[in-house]
Amino acid sequence: MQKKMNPTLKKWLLGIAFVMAAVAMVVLLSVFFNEKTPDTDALKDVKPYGLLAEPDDTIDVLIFGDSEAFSTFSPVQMWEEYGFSSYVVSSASQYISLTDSFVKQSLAHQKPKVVFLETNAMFRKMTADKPLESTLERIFPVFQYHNLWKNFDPANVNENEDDYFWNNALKGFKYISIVNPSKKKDYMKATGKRKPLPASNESYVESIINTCKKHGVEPVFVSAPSTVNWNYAKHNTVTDLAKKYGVKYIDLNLENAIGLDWSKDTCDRGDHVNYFGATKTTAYFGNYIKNNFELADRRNDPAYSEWNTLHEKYAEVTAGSKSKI
Amino acid sequence: MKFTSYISIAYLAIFLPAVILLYTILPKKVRPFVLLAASFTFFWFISEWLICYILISIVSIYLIALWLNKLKDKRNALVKEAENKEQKKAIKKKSGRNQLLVLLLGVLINIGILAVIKYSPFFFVNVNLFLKLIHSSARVSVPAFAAPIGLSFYSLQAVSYIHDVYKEKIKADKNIGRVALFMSFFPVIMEGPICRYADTAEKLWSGERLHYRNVTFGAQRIAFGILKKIVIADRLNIIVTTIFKDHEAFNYDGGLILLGAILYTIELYTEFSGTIDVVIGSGEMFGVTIPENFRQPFFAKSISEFWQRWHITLGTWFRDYIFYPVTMSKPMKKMTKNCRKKLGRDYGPLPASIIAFFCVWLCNGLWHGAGWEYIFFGMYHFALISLGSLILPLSNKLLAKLHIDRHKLPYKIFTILRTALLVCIGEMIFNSRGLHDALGMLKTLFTRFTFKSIFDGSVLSLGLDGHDIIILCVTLAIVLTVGILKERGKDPRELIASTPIFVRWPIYMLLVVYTVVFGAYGAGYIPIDPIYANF
Repeated sequence: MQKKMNPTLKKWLLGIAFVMAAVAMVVLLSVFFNEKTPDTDALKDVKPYGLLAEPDDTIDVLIFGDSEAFSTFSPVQMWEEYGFSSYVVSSASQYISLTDSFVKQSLAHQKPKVVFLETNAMFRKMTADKPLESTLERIFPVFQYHNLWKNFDPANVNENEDDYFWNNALKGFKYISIVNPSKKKDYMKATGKRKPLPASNESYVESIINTCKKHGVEPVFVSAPSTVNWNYAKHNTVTDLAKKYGVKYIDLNLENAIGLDWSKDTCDRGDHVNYFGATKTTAYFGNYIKNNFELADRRNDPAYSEWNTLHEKYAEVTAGSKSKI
Repeated sequence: MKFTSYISIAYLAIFLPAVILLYTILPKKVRPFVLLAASFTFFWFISEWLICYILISIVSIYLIALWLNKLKDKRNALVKEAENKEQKKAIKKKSGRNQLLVLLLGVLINIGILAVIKYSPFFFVNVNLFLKLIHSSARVSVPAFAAPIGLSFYSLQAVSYIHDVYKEKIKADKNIGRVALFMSFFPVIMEGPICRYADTAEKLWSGERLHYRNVTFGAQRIAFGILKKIVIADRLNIIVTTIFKDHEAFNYDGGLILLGAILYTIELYTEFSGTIDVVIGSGEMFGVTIPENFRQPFFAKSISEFWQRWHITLGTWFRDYIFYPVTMSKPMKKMTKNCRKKLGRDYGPLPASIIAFFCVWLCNGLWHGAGWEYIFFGMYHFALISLGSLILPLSNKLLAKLHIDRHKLPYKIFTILRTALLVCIGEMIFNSRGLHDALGMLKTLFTRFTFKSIFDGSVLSLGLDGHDIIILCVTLAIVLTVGILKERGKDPRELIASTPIFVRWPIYMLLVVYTVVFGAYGAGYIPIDPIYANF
């Protein structure tokens, strides 16, 4: 006679089987939701992923960071004025660990001349979860791409096409026309103080620099103008960091030539610049890039003909602001 | 490792499983120490050296309780030896006074720490405001203290322990380890519920082995809590933050402010009750029944009933340790007696109750935060509850005249909706950025109320798209269904567990898939910090 299994043991084994089935389900979901899943207009924050829709090795300048990056730098304007291609890979309240992941992912597809790292995210305090989240996202892509459900079409899964991702016409820039003035104007008072980086953040900055160097790309720090988020103590910390790693650093908060008017050029009392502030900052920043890095003018390059059509969409999106100026 | 929430990978995928594993493999005698070590480690991860504060609280209540016990033993021995009733009475009176002094010493230490850390900055800021008001140039310096995690929760547990020993509801514990674990058990330290010694201490220290049913039921409860937090609360966070942060700048109308108030209330409920699900589920895994903190609050038909269903353990704490002691105090009893004679049976007990309610709601407001908006939040509820008691006899008469039956469904629905609306306005005050902001929102609500921005589609520009709204509706329907089942005395987990494996497994699996796919997490979403962990 066959011996019956202990009922308690059987229960525990069933429980373990369920956990394994749940993990298998997450693996299965990752087949449907991953980097190659078509169309991501529906992604909650399409901006950073939109770069994946760009043909490989076509972007000259990449800018990484949090909301400061996508509200300040306009790649279409830089193309129009200076003729190089750029993309802003950023998302709101981005943690530096996520920036690190985005840099790795982006440089696997693009070979830019220069990578700018907006510095605000360096000071965002991380929880123990952030590196764990990045690891989980790498193992199970569904945790990163689950928001694709919003436009999910099973018929397209794993089709071998190039345009998996929604091609972001503003190239990662976010157009904000709201005017909400800032009263704080003397936020960059010189001081010898330093604002320390939160623990473990520097290791991610180092990792980003190393990734760039490994790919033969020059990393540069840039601080976007913000009366709320930026001050001289942070400037000093980043200056030290730049020296330590031998990286160039431009703090746009100190570049008075930009001509920002905080009573008009911000959408949220100085937290971010609005479209008007972005236009001024981008003009200045584009000129800085042009003068400091050898970038070809591609406006007559037939391979970049699509970039010459971007201004139409850009004009359409920003049309509303003309009446406000 | 730094924990910011129970709903985090660090807690759910590393800390909790590690504790469960250690608890399982170690012998019964060691298990309570595993929980204690885990609890102190958890505390250390969050607050580091501030752990000293909870250690002071633990040692103080342990010694105070033993002291009380000693006084009681001494009193009993003396009473036994007493020769007559007079003597006995005198002994009891003297001992009673001494015990009260010892109890007050314990309360002073524990509430004193809470008061200094949490309220002294607020106090001194207001002293300076007062000095400015009377045109004095003197200023006091405002102190700043770092608060340990869960200070407002464990301080109340400490007081309840010594008070219950004083009232002889429980015996003083001679085992300091058990007192320490009762005070610091890691699942409840951050956001409560506020436990009572009699409910959890014994079970926590028993070191009972893990049971399959407890572990699986606990895991299910945790999974449901995660669903509430990351599918609903984190998704609503986008629109709620937008409305509350920018309502002045964008001149939002009253309709949008009301929508913000309603959505914030749902966010707060799903965040707080979702976290409490994770807390109770964690306790359940170790066989510990942590008291429930919510009982379908939005089915309440009055504000006072709402507070018996929402943050229950805080409400019962205020009832047992503030409301009763105030109403049962000698002067209050005397007042009630006099009032009964003058005002009659209906209104006679009211003045004493209203004074007690005032104390409760002032403390409740302040417990939630040191700020005038929180005092306003408390006074709002005090006014509603007092008004409710005052007009009850009148409204009874009016309903009888109009032939409206309180027990009929339409009236019940009316009272449920009325209560929910009043609660939402209260939570709007709670979430405002200060008293001035709260009053501004209230003004907009009453002077510029239109549904224009809700119907003209501008509400869709606040961060949620149509897809989000569908998911919110579906998930809220699930939460509502669970609530209705519970309200009818049915336990959804029991119902599912009683089905065959080919039915229940797909249900559990659906819960996992639903949360993974529809959760509002990842790039672009900003999860809310645990709202109650800051208290």
